[in-house]
Amino acid sequence: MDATLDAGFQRVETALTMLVDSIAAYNPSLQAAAELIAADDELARGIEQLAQHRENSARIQALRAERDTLEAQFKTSVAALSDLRRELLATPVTKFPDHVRPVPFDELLQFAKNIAQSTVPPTYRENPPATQDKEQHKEVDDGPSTVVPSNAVGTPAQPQDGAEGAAKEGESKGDEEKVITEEEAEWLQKLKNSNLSWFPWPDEDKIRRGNLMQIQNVLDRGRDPTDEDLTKLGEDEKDRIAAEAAAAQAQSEAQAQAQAQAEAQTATQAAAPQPQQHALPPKPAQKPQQFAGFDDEDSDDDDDDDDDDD
Amino acid sequence: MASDDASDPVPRYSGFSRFELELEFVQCLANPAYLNYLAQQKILDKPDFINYLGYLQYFKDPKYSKFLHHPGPTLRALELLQQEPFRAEILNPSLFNYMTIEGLKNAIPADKKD
Repeated sequence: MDATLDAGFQRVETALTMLVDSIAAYNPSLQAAAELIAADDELARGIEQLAQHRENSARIQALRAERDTLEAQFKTSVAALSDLRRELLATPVTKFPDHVRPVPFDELLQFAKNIAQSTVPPTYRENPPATQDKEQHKEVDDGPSTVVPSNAVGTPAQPQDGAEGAAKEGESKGDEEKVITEEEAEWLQKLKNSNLSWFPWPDEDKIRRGNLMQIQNVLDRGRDPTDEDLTKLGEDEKDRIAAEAAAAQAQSEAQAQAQAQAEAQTATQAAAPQPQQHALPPKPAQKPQQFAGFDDEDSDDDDDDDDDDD
Repeated sequence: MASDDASDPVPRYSGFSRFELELEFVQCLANPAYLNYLAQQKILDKPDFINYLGYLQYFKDPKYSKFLHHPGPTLRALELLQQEPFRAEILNPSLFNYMTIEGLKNAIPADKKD
């Protein structure tokens, strides 16, 4: 590039000198002027080329820089990839023993969700005092049981029962295993009175609100359950049906309660709240006679009669 | 459920399939108070009902027991009900109290007891 420009400059200089000489010799030659113009043009072209050259070289440098960064990136990517591969191969694979039955994890999670209902809620009160253990064991029970936040009613009962338990330990060992001691009965009594509503099985209210009870209500209203579809009813519909059925059942329930109370008089102290539970509706245990849809199965289960329904 | 309406092969009793109703009933059996009630109504003495309880043993199969919300007490009650002395004895309120206490005790996970 420089050589070209130098040549251009040289030519211009020469042409200029010739022209000046010719003018100084009082012999201006037009040719020299023309040559000067030509030399000037050539020089201009050379300058343009120079500009172009500069641009090109700048571009080349930019491209070089880009290439360098990309190459660096590429190298790091490949290094990372090889590291990952090494790590992946090094991860230990869980070896399932052959005798294990595969359980689909979603089933497992569903099951866990289901049985969460039978698992102790955090507000559960502590155990009844274990009377057959020694007193030391009782104190050990008291210790960890305070970790479980307990109802205020339960806490004063606990030391009280503990004192009683110490006194009764002798005679409780003599009792039959199946008979609960007085203090346990007392504990149970307090439990029921304080409306602690958690049991590891469906309690009475839940049974009453269940589908079987709904069907019972439909039967009590004198309608055929095979016609209706209870799953499509809203909650208020179900309440209405329940109210209707309860009105029809009022008399028979009063009878059942009176009978149950008479029985409860002769039961132990803990049995006092039982009439509440005895007044369960008679039906949920039985399949009514209209339900003949499964005669091809065991014929026994269709024969539960409903003559208890009064 | 929309796809079932067209041709639901499962016979439904008042909108519920038989399995749903049996599932509900078998779990009610987990409640000792309910068992006591059944004994009082003399339902436990009926041979039909006893056969039905035998039929309900299918809930012990994991394929069905996975639907139980209270698997422990339910399966235990199913077992106990197969025995004649138990069916006679559950009429006694002290046994039912004992079962209640034991059930509540056993419901607490073992690590909390210690």
